[in-house]
Amino acid sequence: MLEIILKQLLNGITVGSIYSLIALGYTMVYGIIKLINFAHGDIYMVGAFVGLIVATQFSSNFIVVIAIAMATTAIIGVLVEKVAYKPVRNSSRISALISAIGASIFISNLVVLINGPQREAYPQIFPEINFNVGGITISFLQIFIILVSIALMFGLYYIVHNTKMGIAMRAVSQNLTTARLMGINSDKIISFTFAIGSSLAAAAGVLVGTYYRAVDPLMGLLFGLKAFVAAVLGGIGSIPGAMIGGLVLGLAEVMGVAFISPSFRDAIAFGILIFILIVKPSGLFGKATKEKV
Amino acid sequence: MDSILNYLFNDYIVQVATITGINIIMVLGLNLITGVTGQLSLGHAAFMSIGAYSSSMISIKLGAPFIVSLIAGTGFGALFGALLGIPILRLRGDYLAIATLGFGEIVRVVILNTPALGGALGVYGIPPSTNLGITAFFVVFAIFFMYRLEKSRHGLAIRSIREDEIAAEMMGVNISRYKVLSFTIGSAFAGLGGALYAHFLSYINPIDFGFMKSIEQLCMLVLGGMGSISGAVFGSIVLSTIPEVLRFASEYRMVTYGIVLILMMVFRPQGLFGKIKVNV
Amino acid sequence: MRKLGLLTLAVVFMFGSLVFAAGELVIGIQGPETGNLAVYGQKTLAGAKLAVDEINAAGGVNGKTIKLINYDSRGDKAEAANATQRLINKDKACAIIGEPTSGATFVIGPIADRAKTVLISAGATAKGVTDNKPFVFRDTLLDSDGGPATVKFVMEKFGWKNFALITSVNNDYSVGLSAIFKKAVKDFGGNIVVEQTISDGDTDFSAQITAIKPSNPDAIIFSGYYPEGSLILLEARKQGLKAPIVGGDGLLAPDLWDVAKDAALGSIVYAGFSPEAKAPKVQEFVKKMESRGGADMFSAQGYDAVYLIANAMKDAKVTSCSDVKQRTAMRDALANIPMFDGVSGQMKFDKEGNAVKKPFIQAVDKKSDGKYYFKLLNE
Repeated sequence: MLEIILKQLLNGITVGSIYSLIALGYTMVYGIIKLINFAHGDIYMVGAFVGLIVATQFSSNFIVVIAIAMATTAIIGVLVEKVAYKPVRNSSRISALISAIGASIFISNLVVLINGPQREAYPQIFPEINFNVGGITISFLQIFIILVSIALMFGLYYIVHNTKMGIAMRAVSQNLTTARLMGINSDKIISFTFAIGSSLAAAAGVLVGTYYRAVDPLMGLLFGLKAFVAAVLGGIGSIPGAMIGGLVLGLAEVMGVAFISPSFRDAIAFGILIFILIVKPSGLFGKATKEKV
Repeated sequence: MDSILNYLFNDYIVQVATITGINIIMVLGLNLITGVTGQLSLGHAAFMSIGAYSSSMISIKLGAPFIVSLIAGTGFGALFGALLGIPILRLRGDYLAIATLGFGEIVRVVILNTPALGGALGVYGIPPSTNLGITAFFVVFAIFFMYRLEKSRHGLAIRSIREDEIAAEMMGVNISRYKVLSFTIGSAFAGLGGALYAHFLSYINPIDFGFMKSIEQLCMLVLGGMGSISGAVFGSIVLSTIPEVLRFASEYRMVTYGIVLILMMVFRPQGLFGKIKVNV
Repeated sequence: MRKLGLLTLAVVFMFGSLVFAAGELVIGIQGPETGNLAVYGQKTLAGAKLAVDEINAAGGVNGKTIKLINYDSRGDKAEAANATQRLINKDKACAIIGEPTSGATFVIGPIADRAKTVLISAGATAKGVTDNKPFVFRDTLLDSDGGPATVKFVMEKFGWKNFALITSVNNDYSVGLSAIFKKAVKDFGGNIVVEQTISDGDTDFSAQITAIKPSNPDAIIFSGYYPEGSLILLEARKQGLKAPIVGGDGLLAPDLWDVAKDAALGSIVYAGFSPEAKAPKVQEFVKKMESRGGADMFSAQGYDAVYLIANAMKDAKVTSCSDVKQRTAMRDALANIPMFDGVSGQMKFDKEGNAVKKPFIQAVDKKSDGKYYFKLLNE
């Protein structure tokens, strides 16, 4: 029994760290322009597909695949921001949200047009190594996914807290107008945020492809929505919150499937969402904001 | 001349017109919640599914007459609208939107896993009682009802919530009560639409009421113009019929749909008919 | 004034499309061409297009060419119903190849039946789709035919007797197929020695394999889809369980060996089509489909549906599809087709319009160059 629990724990952390990577993109964008970036899940899917193309056409070196996927997707993310979000930045929240939904529909269906709707097998770009620890089979890939996620998150943390760009990002998220008055080029910062968020999502896409060995053009919507739940759970706008939120969601899902019922997997995430929203809408790490009259 | 009439009123036209009518009823409900009261809902299809499933079950299992099933579908829509509305309506803006989205997904998963409701296989053999006449009647009723509601004292209170919640409260408007009221009525219309839908197609399954359905209804509202009854009606007509006109370009449709949404928001966020700017 | 303008525009639009060529017989085809079920619709359409091109190149049917009109239903029931009504009333289709999924076929079947227009579903498998609807047919291999035939085959050919059964509980197809397999094993005198359940989307099957291993079955019947199937195989080999998997067309995908590699060898699946079949007809079809996205079960069923309709048109001497008598004659001709030799196998229809056909039982094998493929066993 203990064996199974430990194994499930590992599964949960693996999935959870992927959720975290995507949740970071949602939370950073929301923190800065107060927009639920609906297309973020599709950006993650695009990242997985770019990785697929690189791996099958050019090089199956894992580092090369993930680096090219991250770079390409960062550019796409910025493009989406320029085309679909920037023009509506001063409109109402719902306009921006609907524009984001439009971007999401456009991206996923463009990939369907180009690739066809079918699921694509992901090449094995990571050697399959299993080792035994006290009777539990641990796949090295899982450990690797967790390590890569942690490394990327630390990289992000460093950027946000120790670089000029990061300080500017935090300033913009505090107050866009004031930040601009202080001489910060807010457009540049917003683009930078989208670039970082998108590249993290692309990394998640490549990791998911490597882990589940299959990707499809419509995988972004549900996975993205769940990652968004993770961001809300951690407290939207908070970077450590997104990390913890992703892990909690991953664990809750895996444990729920293993010990309650496998068929309610998708309801678990949204059940947690509603519960959190009612009990503590600011999430685990978010700051409660007071409405100014 | 005879053949022209035949052409204009053949089953195909009736089919599209009926679906359009059902969409109008549901989008009018969404307009009350999102356009008039200013509460963004991303789970309208969930109430549609509640109406569709409850009415179908009553028709099939109890053999109830159509009108009873319709009333039941509407009632269950209202009931769940109120049940969900009471706890979550103290949330605001984006958070409310996400909560309704979550609720929609939960409803879908629960139906999917309930064998008594057909599970993933769906419910078939629902009596096909809905026709164009009945639908047209309810469309007229819904338009009339919404028009009267907006003009009434209650309508004024509801609109004041959208314009400025805090100011409305200062003026003595019971915000929670009116929010729940609008959520209940809006969901009731979604339930009615769902009941008509189920009895029109005679087969339903949970896939039909997913997140994309809610988005589709929202798009109809947004295109026409939020907060405007004529906008809701016009948006529903356009988005229900344009895909029919553009069938020849079917593989590019979804991509175009995405582009249209973005362009609308960039160049005319108030919708084709909306006069006011909505702040949600 | 603006409204009047719109109305005029709409009327002009409608009449613009009224004009249609006289020397054509229209066959409609509808299915999800976009959305998450799109692969079925697109494959069926590709197969149907090939058949129509062939027929027209050979001079058409009854002196007329066939025109194929395709509509995308996005997997949405209301749009599916719209498309069917449009095909019937506006395009005056002689017959409709409709909806590769069961759900949408439930919706459009009654519409076509009421309008007395033949509908052939190239994909619906659910029970009751064609019942009490004389004009509704399907050319799909039913699991209730394929499952038992496969069980009988492996028991006779390999002498297997004891089976483990794994069901994916949140997958309708799997639950239904498991019931069929269970009954078949019992009917043919075999035993289900152990039963386990999983869920679609699971990745860890160690617990289930651990539970199966002590019973040492001859084979594991798995009624779900290939993503889980390949992982079950990997886990079984990891734990030293050598039994192969037996399953339905849910396992029929190259992904099975892409992931499981040699662990997939010897797995038995049945399906309604095999590109390995030696019949020249099938080989020709496979070759022609190479430039059209590849041959698979859905394209084969779409292709066969067109030929079924064309044969019925010939038999009933159909020349105008707005004539309900001709359409009824066509329906009767289709229902009474003696034995149709299609690329998805020989078939005829039972009295409810279900195709009665034999499964293609296939095993995963490896060619000398190391490439995996499905080797056809029962030819």
